Amino acid sequence: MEDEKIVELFLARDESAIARTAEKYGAALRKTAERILRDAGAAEECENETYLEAWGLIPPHEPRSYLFAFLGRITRHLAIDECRKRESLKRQGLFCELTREMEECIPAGSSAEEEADAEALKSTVNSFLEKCSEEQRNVFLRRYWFFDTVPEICARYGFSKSKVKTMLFRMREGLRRHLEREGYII
Amino acid sequence: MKDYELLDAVGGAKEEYIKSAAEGKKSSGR
Repeated sequence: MEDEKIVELFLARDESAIARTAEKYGAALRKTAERILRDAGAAEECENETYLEAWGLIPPHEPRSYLFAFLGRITRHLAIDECRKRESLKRQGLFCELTREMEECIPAGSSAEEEADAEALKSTVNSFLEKCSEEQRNVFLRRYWFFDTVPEICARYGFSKSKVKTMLFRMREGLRRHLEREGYII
Repeated sequence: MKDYELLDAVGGAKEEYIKSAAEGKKSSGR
């Protein structure tokens, strides 16, 4: 079913919206959560929670053109939050790798104690992505949005491992400089 | 700012960027 029709079901408060969403995007959402949670049960909980949150958010939101981006944001946030709470997950696996890589982007002098303004940070990340080429942006998002491994990115685009690693390294450097320019330092 | 806050913020990437990354070609490799 097309995204627009699924969104119409949500707007009409038709509960079949959830079943249609699950049919179309359930596997992808679960996979995203499972990549960093490494726990099929917890990933399924994130998936189900995503539907409930979407039910509460549509309306007022109407993500007609690309529902997956809207749902994926919710799933990612739930999974990251769960990892943050679960110390055992925080210290191992892909989540550990990803957060360590993100740490490289945080400007020196940025206060770890101070909670960043989430909306402002999203906008800054977007203004950074806007300056990148489509190829760079895709690789960056496959890694940090979809949580792909480097070999998976290589297979997707036919790039060598060193090319992907170098691209990601340069983009993390670029993001750090961008954050500095945007004032993310004390 | 904490590492996971930045990772979470990437989630707010524009829809068109996510779409492009989602639809990006799967190459048969070189």
